[in-house]
Amino acid sequence: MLDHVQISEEDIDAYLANHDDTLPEQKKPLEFDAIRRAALIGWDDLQACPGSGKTTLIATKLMILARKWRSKYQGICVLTHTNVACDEIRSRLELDADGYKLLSYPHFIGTIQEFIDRYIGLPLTRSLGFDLRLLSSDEFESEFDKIRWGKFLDRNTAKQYWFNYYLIRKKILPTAFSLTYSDDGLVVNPVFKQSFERVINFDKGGSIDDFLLKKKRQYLAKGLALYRDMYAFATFLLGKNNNLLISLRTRFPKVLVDEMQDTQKFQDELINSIFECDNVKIQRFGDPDQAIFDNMGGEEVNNTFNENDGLTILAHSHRFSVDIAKKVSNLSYSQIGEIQALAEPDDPHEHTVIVYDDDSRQQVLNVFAEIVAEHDADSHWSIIKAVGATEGQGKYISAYWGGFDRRKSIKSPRPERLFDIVCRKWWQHEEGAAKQYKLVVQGILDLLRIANVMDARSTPQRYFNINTLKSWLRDNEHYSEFRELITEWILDEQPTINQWNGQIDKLKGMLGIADSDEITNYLEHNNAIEDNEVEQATGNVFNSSNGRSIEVGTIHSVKGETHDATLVLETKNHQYDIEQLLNQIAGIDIEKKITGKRKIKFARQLYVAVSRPRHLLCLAIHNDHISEVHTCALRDEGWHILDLTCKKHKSKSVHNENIGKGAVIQNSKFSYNPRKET
Amino acid sequence: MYISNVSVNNFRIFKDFEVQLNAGLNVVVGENNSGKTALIDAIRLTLDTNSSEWTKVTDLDFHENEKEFQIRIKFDDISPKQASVFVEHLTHEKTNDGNARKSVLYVNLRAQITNIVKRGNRYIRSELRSGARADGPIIEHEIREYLSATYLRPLRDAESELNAGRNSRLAQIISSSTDFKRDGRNFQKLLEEFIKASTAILKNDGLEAGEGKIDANLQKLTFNQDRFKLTIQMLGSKSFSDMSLSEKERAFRDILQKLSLVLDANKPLQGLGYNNVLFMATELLLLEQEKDEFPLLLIEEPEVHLHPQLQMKFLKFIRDEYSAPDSPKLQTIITTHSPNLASKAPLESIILMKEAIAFPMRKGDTWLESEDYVFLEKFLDVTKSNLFFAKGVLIVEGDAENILLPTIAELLGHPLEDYGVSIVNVGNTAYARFAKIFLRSLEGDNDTEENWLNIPVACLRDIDLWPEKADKAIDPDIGWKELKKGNRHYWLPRKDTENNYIGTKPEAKKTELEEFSSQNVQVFVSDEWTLEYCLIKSGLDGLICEALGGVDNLKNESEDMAIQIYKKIETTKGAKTDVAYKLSELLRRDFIAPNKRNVLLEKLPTYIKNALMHVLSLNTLAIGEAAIDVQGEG
Repeated sequence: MLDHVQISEEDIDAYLANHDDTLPEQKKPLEFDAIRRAALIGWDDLQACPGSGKTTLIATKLMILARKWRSKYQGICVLTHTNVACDEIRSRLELDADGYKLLSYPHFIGTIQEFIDRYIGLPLTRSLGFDLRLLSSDEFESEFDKIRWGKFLDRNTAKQYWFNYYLIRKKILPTAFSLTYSDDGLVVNPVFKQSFERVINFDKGGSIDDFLLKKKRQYLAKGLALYRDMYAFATFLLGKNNNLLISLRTRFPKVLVDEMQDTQKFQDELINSIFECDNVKIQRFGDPDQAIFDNMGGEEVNNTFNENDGLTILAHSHRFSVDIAKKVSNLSYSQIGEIQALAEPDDPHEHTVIVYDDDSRQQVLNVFAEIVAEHDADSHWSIIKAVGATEGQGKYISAYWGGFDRRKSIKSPRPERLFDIVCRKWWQHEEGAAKQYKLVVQGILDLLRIANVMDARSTPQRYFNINTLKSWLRDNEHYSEFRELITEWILDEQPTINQWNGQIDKLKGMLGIADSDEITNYLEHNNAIEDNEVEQATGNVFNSSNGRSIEVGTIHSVKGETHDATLVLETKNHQYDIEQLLNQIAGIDIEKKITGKRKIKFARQLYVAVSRPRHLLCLAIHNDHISEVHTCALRDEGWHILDLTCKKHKSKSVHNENIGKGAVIQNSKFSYNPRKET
Repeated sequence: MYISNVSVNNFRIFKDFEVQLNAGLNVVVGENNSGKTALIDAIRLTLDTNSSEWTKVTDLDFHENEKEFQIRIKFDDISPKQASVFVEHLTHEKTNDGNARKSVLYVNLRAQITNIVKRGNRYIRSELRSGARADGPIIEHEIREYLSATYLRPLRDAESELNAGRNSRLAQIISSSTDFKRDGRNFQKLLEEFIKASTAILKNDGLEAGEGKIDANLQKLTFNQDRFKLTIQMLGSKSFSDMSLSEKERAFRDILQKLSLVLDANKPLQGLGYNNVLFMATELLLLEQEKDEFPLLLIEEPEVHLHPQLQMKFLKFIRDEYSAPDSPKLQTIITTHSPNLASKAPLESIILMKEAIAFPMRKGDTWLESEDYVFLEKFLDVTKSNLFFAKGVLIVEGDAENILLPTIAELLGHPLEDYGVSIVNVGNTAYARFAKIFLRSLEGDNDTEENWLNIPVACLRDIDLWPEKADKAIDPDIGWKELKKGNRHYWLPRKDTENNYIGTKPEAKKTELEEFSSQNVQVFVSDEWTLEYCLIKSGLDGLICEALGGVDNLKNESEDMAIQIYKKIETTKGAKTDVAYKLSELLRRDFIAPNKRNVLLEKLPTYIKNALMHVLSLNTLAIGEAAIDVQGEG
């Protein structure tokens, strides 16, 4: 066994000296305080507050380790939750001669999923004879009809229905059709089994578990697997091959985990079962206050880190100044205490709570743009964002700006019209003609569904899928014509309205589709969409009346980012988030631990949101959700209040500097008085 | 960890080849062009070697006109530490009891010959992947280096490899030895002494004078504006503490490369043989130093430079020092033509190659039982080890056959050596054990001709049933045998004194003796009693009498006469061998002329002729006209 490589104070000094030598002149030299040095030398888990330079710290630790690394066949394992974080670490290491060595054998830098796949899951599935393609939930769903499930008896009516009937109605969820590992070995996820049993009268004379496992095996044999399956395979194998654990521990005597707060419970348990031992040094980095992926996809997040109050805390932020730091600290679920600002003191900025009502909600973004303009007259700031926790069914973000389109922030969008596909609006998400082809065919399958055209050759009649559509077209000798049409759409320019109408008539003729309002709508040629959405296609950007561009998004989408100015929009998920945490924001009872599942979630989301900006932080809250007590307390905490409900935004009103602590405001309507007029 | 299986498709002589290897010693024997070198090269190309040879796929490596070949090497018995090196490449197979899984490693080399021409040759694309079906990731070169074998090629120039120079093995060995830890005392001391010497060298008057002369010329050739300060430099002019890690390493290598290994300073020119032993000794040392890694030793034809006794000593050394059956220190694969080596190798370690098929002699692969191994180990001497290199084997149970059969074959125009047939005299009890070497343990669908060892083996056996007339109680004139309780079954069916039927039917005895007639092994049982008895009866009675110096009072009846002649052979001490030698000479005297071949043929017992035909793979032994006749009859 290799002697553990140890980092000493001298190693850090040597690294820093070398680092400063190569630094461009205007850059500040790197400095590490005692806590950071201890984190480089030791292996305690670390809570890193926003802007604390966590990635720099990880990269530095890796580069120093790389410099001292001698073993040819043992490596350092760096685990992250997302590819973004992993790319960020890689990009730091790439530029360093020693760090570069960590990008290849015997080291590993990647997501936990990739680690499990590469070292345990895929070697096992290869051994089992499967040649797997790991699919996201969406992809798996679209491939789900690759296996025939046959007819089943309906649980309630004893009538025979196709399995697909329940699929389409989402009574059975393909994405739940994963493997899990129990004491009995590999079994199909009980959630799936329950949903299956709920609608289907399983009377095959055998065990339903065996039946589902057999079906699962058929998918695997076709190469179709869910990412989640790999964890079950990994757990299975670790139980069956005792030596594997020793091998993994030997191979990776040093493990760093980044983004630990987002590591799910099952991932955390697996990683701990592999690496938690005397021979491996493991260090986790993250910020439990920023754990906003809890319960995503129904999975619990870890509690060994997120609920650990023994973490070493990096409470110094390079990002923002004291005034923002204070506001961020208040929302810390883990009660991190006061975040120390290491950033240069900024000019005093008026961090503002914008209070609106239903009438003035739509002005919020413009008002924010004005405030930005006040502080950044020369337009130096480039990253200005407005973020809300959730768009939801209530369209809580688009309520501020009708132009917000959540689909643009969703990974695999679904087009609204067939023309959207053909005009390439969606193609930026799709790589290669194969995917484009699939998208067009999917659009046509949707068309058939809307038109209620079914495959008459099957009893009972079914909607078409790609294969039945193809064979049906072949039967009717329309197939080559159909291919030509699709080829035109993929290869040629966007069709003019005349071309489009001709193509649509041809398509309708081929498929035997009768006109209806729905159909006309779905097949509409809509040039206008493209013209005014070209810009939007690059993201949700709001152009304010004063010419400032504000990117609008969800809090999840800005995780890890640094902004110049951030506006946090109040949104609702059963309850309104800012309202629920107004006490904390206003500094009332902050010693009290935040309780309640939803409230904790809100706190974490808002914590992420308010910790983005370097210079200016604003909040937007509905005036129904804020009381005088709170406005008063907010001022005490250094917030400015801008009330849009009493006057139109353009009329300026007073910001009262003299209101002291505990003062009672008689008038609940505040006004805004920009500095230039005072 | 060791290579447990090698399977090859379309590589050189191999169309479709597979062999299981032993964890310790593997001695691959076989005639030329049987695939021994191809097997070594398949391993070499896939795993690469740590010696300085160049291994590269060429278009000659493709079987016949195939465009693609594949080599798959399976490693078994991998320790967790070894597995850690390539954990992402492992295959997790079910253990024998089926309840757990164990880690094995497959390394697959796939090469394709393309139509792209590069530098006048067709470009060969090759790829190294893990996975039982080559479906794993590409294997990193670091891992390949870890798996690389130590290769000792035949006819190597051991002297130059031991000498100083760039790729000196000695330098490698000393460099990786624990005696020269880079932060240790020996290392520093060596370099400091080197630096001291270098400094002294540079102060040498001759050098300084030379420097001055060059400088003078340089001044004439350069412009005044660009003046250079000339110095002669030498590695090691810096002090130890000023040298960087890589400078130290370079200086160290420089020193080591100046070293060479000499057996005896008084005899600087050693024979190739001892140099090779020395070379192998250093290689083994290198292997031992790297014992954490995977130790595989490939040796081709070690006999080339070693005289027979040294060969045997060498194999014994490898066997005893490194290949203990329960915990071998390294896996060795040796190819050899040498019966000397084969005779020292444990039978279980022998892999017989024949026409590109491997036939391991491991327990379970042949009909041999555990006690057969113990016996054969003892009795497989150099002479008998010949049978591993033969194209056909005659197993005989006595001196007479051993002496007479080669003569008979020669006189018939089919000398055994022309056919690569070895004759092995095993005495009367062991013939079955030798026959079983050639019998493969096959079951069900595998028991097909292509899985048999394609070496015709003929076992000659005497039926050894006595005619009644040999009983002196029956015919006192000619008989000399006595019917006893213990020899009742030696007689041909007859009645005893109480008129009970006794004896053994020839058919029954024959069936019993032919037990091992299977696959390409055939037992040929004498038609009557013994070889000599058969020869007498088939027409060589006159010559045998002559060989015996005459037999008195011969009767006319042929059986009587035969018994009389045979009596003299059996009852005269040492006569069996003696007669065989003499008969051999007499046969030569009478039948040496080619036109006498068919005459001789007519005078031979059928079972002898059949045995020869089998072992020579001939349909007839006759020559010319007679050959046509015989074929016509057949």
